[in-house]
Amino acid sequence: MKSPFANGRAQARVAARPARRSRQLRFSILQPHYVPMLILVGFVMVAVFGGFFAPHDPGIPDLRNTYRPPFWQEGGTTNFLLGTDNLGRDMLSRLILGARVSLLVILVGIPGHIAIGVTLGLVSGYAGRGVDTFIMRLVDIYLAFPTILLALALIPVLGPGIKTIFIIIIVTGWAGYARIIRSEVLTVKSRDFVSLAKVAGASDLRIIFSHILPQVINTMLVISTLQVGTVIIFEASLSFLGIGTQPPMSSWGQILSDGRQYVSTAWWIAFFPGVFIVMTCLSANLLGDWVRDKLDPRLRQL
Amino acid sequence: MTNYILRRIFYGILSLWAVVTIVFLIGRASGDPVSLFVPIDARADDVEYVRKRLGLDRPVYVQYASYMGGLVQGDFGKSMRWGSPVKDVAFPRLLATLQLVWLTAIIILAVSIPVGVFSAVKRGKAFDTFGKAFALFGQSAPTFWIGLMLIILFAVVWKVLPAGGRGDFRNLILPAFTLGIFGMAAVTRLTRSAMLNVLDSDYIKMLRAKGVPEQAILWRHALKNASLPVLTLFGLQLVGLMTGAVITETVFAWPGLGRLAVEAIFARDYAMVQFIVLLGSSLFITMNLIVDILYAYLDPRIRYT
Repeated sequence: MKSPFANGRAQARVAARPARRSRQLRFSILQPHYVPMLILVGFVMVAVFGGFFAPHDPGIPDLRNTYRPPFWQEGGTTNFLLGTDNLGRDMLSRLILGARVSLLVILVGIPGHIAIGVTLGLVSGYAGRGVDTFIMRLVDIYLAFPTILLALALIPVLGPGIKTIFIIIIVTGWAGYARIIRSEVLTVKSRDFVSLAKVAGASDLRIIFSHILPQVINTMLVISTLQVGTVIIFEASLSFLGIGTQPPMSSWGQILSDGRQYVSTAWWIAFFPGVFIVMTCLSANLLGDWVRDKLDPRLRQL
Repeated sequence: MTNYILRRIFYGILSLWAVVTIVFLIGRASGDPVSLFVPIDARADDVEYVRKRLGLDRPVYVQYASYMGGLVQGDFGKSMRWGSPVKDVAFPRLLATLQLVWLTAIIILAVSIPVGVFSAVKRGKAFDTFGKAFALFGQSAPTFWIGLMLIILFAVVWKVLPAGGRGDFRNLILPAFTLGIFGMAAVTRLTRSAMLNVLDSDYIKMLRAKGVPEQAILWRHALKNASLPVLTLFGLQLVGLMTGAVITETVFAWPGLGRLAVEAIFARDYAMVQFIVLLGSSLFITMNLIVDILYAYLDPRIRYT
């Protein structure tokens, strides 16, 4: 991706930096990125093992304990740390189980984007000519189309539910990868080792997968990290509108949407799911910025 | 220039055609398209009646031709839920959305540009840190959550602004601000980095050496050159507000197009959903076209690439 603000000095600075160092990830507990990293690790643990340490069963209503505020407020108990909802279900346990959906959409969505986007980007950049023009036009159309409109058109047809969310997330997110990977491929393609591989008689597939792909993995990693927040928020938005995750499954967006009716009496039902979403997305974005600066400073514009 | 504009317009039309076709195909892709237009518990003979009336018993290519023909003549179909042509229902809703978007656009510009410029000038100082934190937060927090939190603060706790609905100007403040958060964050971030780039260039140093007042350098010379990428992003954000509008309108019960789309999905009114998607994408494509042309007008280098 060509930066519109690339000035000579910045490029010189990037070029002057030892290539090896900038392409290595340095993990150190003293660096500021460890907080977001810990939060993300915590998020994954909670999503995977949440069922084991959730203090209550979020599926069972408890009508003697409805609308309990968080423990530090009057009327709250430490039994329900973050309070309870309109049916007396423990908020903390609901949120812990809700993390699962967010993790699922990442695990399905991002590999899906990579499978479609990176493949098309590689093909487009490597093949050039007509194929390239065609794929890039397709990407333009996709990028020029508001995601939510495609979602609105698809939901009545596919019916709301987690599978629909997967499909929508995959079909809407790949185009960015394709465009950026293609431009990377264009520069890699002209390097000597590709020509040498060609001279040595390597097939196109072999050149693409064992010579070009490794060169664009960093870029792929950067985009993927930055996509995490987008994917989480997108699922939450659909669920908030009531056209995403459906009960009995629960997701953060859906819990937040439940809390909408009670904002005047029980603020915590809408408040905490948002805090969880913000924390996860903020961490992913911070980490993404950091990974980008380390691996691929040219992608500043992302 | 003419060549460039014509090519852009051609691509615009091509995109529009692609969208129209995709929406048509999506509608036919699910087993029985009639099921999209009737309530879930409709009787079998009612279903057959609707199928006949909508012409869904004809071959797909005939349906496509009559669908395209209808669109060209401004016939977008009839809403099952509201019982009148979809465009009659949608246009008043579109006006409500535009009212909201218009105010949001002003808020975005009024906040982002000064904050971005000051952030760049005070690079590394407290204000810059605050500006960057705001931008990062705005891009990581979901719109609907911010909207609800604003409702809790301003409508429930302090009771100074209404929580939703459409009425006088006060009803507009919270939704417009909520809708603008993401755009504000993005435009602030870009204004800052564009200004930093421009302030670093030789001609600014030249102006400083000549003794031009710092304020004039900032607002007259630097901002003008930094405004190009900002303008592009602003145009895109403006259209991106479509997405935000669906959510913001739901949060604040604002009777706009986005809210209508969600209502239509719940009412299983596919004709309406289809129309809103088409309307939204036409607006989107037109806006992109205008930004492209404006950009080429402002920066002559673009025309030749």
